[in-house]
Amino acid sequence: MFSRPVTFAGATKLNFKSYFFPVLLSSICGLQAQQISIIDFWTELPVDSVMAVSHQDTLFSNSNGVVDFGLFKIAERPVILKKQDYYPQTILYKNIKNGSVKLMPMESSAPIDVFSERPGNPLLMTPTHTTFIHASEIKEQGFNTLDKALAAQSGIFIKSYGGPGQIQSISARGMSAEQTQVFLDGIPVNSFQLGSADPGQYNLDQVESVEIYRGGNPRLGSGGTIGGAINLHSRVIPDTLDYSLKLRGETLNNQFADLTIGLPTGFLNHEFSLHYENGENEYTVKTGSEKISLTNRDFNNWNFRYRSSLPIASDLHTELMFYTYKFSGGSPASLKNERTEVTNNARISYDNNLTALHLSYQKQRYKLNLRAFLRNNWNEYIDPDSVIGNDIISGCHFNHETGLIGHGQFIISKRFLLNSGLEVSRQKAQSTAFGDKNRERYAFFLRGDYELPWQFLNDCTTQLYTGLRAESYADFGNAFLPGIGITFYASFIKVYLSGGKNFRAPTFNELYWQPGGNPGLKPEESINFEAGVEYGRSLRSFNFMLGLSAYSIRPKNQIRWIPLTSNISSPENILAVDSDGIEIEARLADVTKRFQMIANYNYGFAVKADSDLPDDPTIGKRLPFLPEENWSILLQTGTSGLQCGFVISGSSFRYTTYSNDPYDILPAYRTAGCWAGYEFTAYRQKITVRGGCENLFDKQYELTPGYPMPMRHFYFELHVTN
Amino acid sequence: MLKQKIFYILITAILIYGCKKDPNSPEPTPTQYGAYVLNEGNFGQSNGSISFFNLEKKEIENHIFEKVNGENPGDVVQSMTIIGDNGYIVVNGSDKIEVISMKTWKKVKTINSPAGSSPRHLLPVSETKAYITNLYTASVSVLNLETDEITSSINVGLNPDEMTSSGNKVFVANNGFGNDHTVSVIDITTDQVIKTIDVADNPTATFTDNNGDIHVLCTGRYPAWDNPDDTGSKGGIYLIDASTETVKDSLSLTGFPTRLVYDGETTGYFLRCSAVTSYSTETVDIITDTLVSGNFYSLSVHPESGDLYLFDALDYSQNGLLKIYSAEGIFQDSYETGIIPHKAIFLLSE
Repeated sequence: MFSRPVTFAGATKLNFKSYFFPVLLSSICGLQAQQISIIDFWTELPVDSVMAVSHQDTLFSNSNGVVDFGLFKIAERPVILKKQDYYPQTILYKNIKNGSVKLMPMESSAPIDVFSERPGNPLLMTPTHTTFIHASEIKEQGFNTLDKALAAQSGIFIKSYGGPGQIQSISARGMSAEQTQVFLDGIPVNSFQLGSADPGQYNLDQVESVEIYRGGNPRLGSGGTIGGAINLHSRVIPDTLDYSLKLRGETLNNQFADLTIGLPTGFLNHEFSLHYENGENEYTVKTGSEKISLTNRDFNNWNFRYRSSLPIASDLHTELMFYTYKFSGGSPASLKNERTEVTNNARISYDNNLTALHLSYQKQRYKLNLRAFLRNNWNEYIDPDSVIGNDIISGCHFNHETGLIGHGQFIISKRFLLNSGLEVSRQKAQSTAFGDKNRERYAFFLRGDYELPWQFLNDCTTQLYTGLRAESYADFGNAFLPGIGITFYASFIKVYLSGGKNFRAPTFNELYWQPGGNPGLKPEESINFEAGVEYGRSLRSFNFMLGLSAYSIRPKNQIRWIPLTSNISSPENILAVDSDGIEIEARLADVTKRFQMIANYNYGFAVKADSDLPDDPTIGKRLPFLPEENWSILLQTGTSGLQCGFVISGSSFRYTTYSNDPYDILPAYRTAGCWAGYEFTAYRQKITVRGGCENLFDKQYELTPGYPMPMRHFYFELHVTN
Repeated sequence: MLKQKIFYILITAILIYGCKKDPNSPEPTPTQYGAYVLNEGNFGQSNGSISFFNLEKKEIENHIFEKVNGENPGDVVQSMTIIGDNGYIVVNGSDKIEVISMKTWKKVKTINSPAGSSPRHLLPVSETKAYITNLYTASVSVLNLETDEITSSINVGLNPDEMTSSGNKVFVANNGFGNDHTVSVIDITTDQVIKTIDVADNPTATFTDNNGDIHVLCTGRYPAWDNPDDTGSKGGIYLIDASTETVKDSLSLTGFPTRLVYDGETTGYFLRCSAVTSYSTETVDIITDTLVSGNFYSLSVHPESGDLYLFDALDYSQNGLLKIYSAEGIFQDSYETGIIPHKAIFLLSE
């Protein structure tokens, strides 16, 4: 379970800016020689002098870990790789992904206890509570959307405005959605106008893995990681022809379709991915004595993603991504009664796209990554039934951001790894609420990971971590964010302690919204502390893992809209919050995952710490909308193709106001779901059929006041892949 | 096996212990006479409520509607009119009027307003008829009080707000959210608009004084945010002769005045520039510009004592405060209410 410290494993994706560039490159690359890059399994650094034996040839990797086979036909032949202190490995050239092979060092095998986890996860080994979930695990656990999988993680809270296709936001550790940063392949995707990100806009089938960093991290900053950061990794572009077709239907009258095609052409690998969903969210809820069929919950969206990867040389890699997301659907008002549903006709539409290029250059002692990106977010809202004077209520907003993110990883010595990065972006917003505004952002970070040369105990390691992040915004100055931590690794236990500063930049709405926007706002700041322990052991054929972390976050200068007059509010740096909590994760699984139980629990207590009005009676009261407790338990079992699972989750009640009035609450809830699936092969295609039930006990509950979640419903899914 | 046991214990503990239980509080004993404080609640969140202020005991009980009826009154508790033994609570965002018994506080009936109408105020105009202004349909609904059914609709100006009656006429302030500047005059007998009177921009509040004249408060139009040269327009108080349906006096006001209440004698009060201002209803002149200073959301006046009930909405998301001042502007006491308190309806013993 606990590997030796892996400071940074750059499983980052490659991106570029033009549709046509890959085609141009593919014509150049057809003449490339056959090479493989050999890297250390844990450090992902190149391994030199590896002996590669293929047929009658014996070759050695160079200082960059590259073995060049020239033009020999080796695709079908086994290649044996050998080096002292590494386990030998036999591979088939045609099966090598991305041209690289990982060699497992012998020395690292002793303290490692593998608990059916994917080793070598691309986690930043920060001394904080981090979670890595592979997409295949998410699917094994029965989740069919990303947001549901995230909601089951401890310390993560999804605020949803209803069923599929409805607006969502994600937050961590009692902080707001604006204080939780979401990245797609390292590129920040939170709206800089609103501050939040909608996890529903990202499709599970396009994601390879999800990293959840709770608390601050100097490497991942970008405007607000006071609560945490979530990094979505796209799947590795396959270098063989492959496809995946998935169809899903729900009894809510919702339909979903995914088609992904991997298409290698020479040395250039392409991936085309299309996701389409359309639905009505037909369900009936009770309010008072009325039974109401909800309206205006329809949605129609599709996203298309094109990616291509190109190994220009063994140490230089590029990847291009173009992603577009279009949505149109209802923007329902909160549920009141049957009549108000008649005039519940507001509509919202989005048109977002992201174009990104990733260049990766790797040498034996350093690795450089450069990402260039361009993203456009457009949205429009219109409510034909709300007339003010002679005008209906409407709004239109366009956000545009271009940026460069450069990261470097340097091995200073055998025990000292340095990470640094520089980020530059220009943000521009055009809004019916405030006109045209723009700003520039610069950020720099340094992070050092140092392994202490002595051992407190036998067979243990202690790693120190220090970091500094500097953020500079043209419209409100600089922020310096230091961080420090220590991690102690022993054979079955990991103990960590960390602290640091973090911040969140004001959003464009907070700065400029008319009326009320406040251009004089400062960034929010926070101090975070965390301590945690993770313990894992195997017992016969079962693996057991238990993790416990305790955190404390002290944000200040938090932005809160304060009334200036009876009808105009303005944001001020006035709110202070004390947020403390514990997160517990437990997992029990047999080594083949025929049986698996996962339990997550968190207890958080976020209270208002300072007054924001004279004689403020709400000091010490709980923050609204945050449950004190939430938890989930997942059971999964199966054999030879047949799988089934059951998940139950719950939350304590949530106050909806700072007054903590017991009559203004969202009640506690428990919800359950179950599923069963069967996987088989036919005509050499892997076919999976799966059916399930969500909200099994037909309980009405809300995550946002006035927006009931779907009642009991069933789904059926067909997945065909090669 | 120890680890498995720990795991099972953990799971069992979560399932058994579950989550912290929802809070609750006991049902109150209804008391008929007192001040009913209306708390709007946040728009769209259906957290409006009604508080009862016991004038004798000087105690306030919040959420009386929920406690007695087991449900929330709805989205934006806008106004309440007592007719006979019943209270007609206009719930603006929920397009409905909840009728409660003033003796038991129990819900008697729900009157459904037309979908999307956004009812604001209800005014009885005869023993069998009441008018309801509809904010979003530029109309006034006619309610049959015998059947509690809406029978017809009268078209008025943009976004009609408060109304008041004098003789057989009703005067409706059409605020238009700053885009209208008229008062519609309705003949009660025919349910027809017989005249439209020009006043300043954004007429929102009205009352009828002891002389039968109509007082209309106009807030004025706020400046357009995207035009730095626009300064908006002035508001004011307009005195309308109900018999001739003409403006006979006015007082121009800057600072976007809001709310308007009447002590039943010769003084009117409104809010302006973070202060309570009093004026003479006889001469339409300011009596005291800053009678009480403070950023109040709304106000009411006790019909007998003349005490001012000032409502502080604080940050508009937490429970607000009822602050009671004497007619001379001297602070007496403060009580926690629901979210965005804005009006007190007095039911006094005979």
